[in-house]
Amino acid sequence: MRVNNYWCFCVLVLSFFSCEREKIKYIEDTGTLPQLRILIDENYLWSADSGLYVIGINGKELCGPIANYNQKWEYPASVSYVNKGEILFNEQVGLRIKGGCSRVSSMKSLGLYWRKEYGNSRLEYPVFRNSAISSYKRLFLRNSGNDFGETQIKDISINSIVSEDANFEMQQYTQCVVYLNEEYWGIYNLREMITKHYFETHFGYEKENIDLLEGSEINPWADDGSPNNYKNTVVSFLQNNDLSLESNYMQIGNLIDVDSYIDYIIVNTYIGNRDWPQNNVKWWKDRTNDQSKWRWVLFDTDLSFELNRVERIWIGDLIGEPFNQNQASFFIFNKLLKNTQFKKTFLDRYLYFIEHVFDQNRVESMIRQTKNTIDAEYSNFHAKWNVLNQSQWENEIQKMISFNTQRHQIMKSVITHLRNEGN
Amino acid sequence: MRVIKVIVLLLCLFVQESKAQKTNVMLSYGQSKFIRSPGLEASIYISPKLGIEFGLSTYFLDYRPQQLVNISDNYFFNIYNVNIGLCGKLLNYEKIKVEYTVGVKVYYGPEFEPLHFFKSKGYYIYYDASELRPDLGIDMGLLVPINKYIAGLKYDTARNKLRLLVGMWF
Repeated sequence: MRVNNYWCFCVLVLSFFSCEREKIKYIEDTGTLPQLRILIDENYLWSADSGLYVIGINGKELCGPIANYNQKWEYPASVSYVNKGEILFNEQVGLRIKGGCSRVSSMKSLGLYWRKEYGNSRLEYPVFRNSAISSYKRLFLRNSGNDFGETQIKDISINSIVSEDANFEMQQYTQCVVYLNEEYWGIYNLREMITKHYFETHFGYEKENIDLLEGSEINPWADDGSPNNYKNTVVSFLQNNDLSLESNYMQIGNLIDVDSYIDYIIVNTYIGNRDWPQNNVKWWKDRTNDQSKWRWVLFDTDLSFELNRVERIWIGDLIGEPFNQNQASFFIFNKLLKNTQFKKTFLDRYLYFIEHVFDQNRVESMIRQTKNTIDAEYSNFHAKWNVLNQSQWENEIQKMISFNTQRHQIMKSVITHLRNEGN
Repeated sequence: MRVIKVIVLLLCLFVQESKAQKTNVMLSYGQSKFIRSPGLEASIYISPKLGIEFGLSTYFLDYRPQQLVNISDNYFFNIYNVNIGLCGKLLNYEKIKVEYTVGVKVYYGPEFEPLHFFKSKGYYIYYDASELRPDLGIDMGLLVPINKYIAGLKYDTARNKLRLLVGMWF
């Protein structure tokens, strides 16, 4: 009896140690999306000391482990954009890993940099069909940020919902499939990148004159330009003057684009963006142009439209409880709110957004349209990265639609009540 | 909370009930790419032929950073998987005795899959496919008693993994 059971046990142990296997999935896209094919020396991606894509041994701390992919390294690469077999452009660029904490995802965001030393200093091609712009210095292959592996369309859906009406800057988008050194790499959102070049391209301002600010509205910092002009004019004025007075309100209107600011606050508060205002705030101005006022940029709205937070409301001092301790980013709004004309304009505009921009049928239709563009390709994306399966993914999309259905009613009731109070 | 109370109550009853029955206590071990996972399992018979079985395991990471593109390790929660189910006598024929376990298993922790073969260095690059999502599946196993000892092998459909068990029965 002992011998037989020993044999059984040996068979079990042998099975255990012989089960590991290595297998790379070979995937080919469905041809329903344009392809962006990137060719780069594989050492630039994978080597231990200088590989862009790996944790590696020469890393920097940001989020998660100390990793190479947190470095701002840039390496030469070749990109070609192909649609239905036709090559739309073929360019030499610099390639970087992009993003904040979303760098910890397996499918990483990539930045494409056009520079003279690689070839052309700009891409001359109309990448985004809804845009009049056809010249780009930078493009951004976005992995959908914090929404990676969830809906994969959240930020671009919000972009498409508000783009017609909102008076602030946004990143145009198109969905595509990326191949990295001939390997299928998944569905990416090809976006404009918000740098000083964006404002040069869109508004014709000299890039050297752009102040592009980020962070707190009281004490911002700038990668491009300087925050000094803003601090000395806007912050100083708001701190030392009573905005309830009409003359002061008129004067601040000469410094900041109040309409842009109103739309920016409306959209971020309606969508329940919980990665804002402590993060993802950018505003800009041409410091040499007297006509240029501070305007805002909407980006990275991936942590919003969350059904489990549909009842959370925070519009500065107007209503609601802070999502976090950093209230400094409502600095301008809270000052402006002291002015009755601003408050009325803000609430009227909010109601317009609720009734028109965030109309339930309109939003559902636009989300479904964005989803349908990648529907056929989704199974490949799932196979590549082991993200949600098709039905789980569709369920996440449905949650976005349900969020708006409920949010629409909640916000309409809140804003109508606030308007009636004012009257 | 009510569910947890019911489970604890049932476990207490089973333990009481099983005093006169057989109990297996085992160390378990599983491994996959960059992961070593020790654990504990127990099966408690509440009748001569049927019992309950449960287990829990932790994990240790053992990886080369140049072979990974991401890792979604939760530093504060090192439970790798838990399982609960039934156990029983499958075979008691002449000189062969075999017991079975069947239940459910939930994983929470990294899971490394090959992403790319780095030709110039001759090794695979891996990615963590788990994104810290729990994976639920069926857990099943076979146990063979040898004298006062017991050994076995389990397989789960949550992550298609095998797990080795060695212990004693009382």
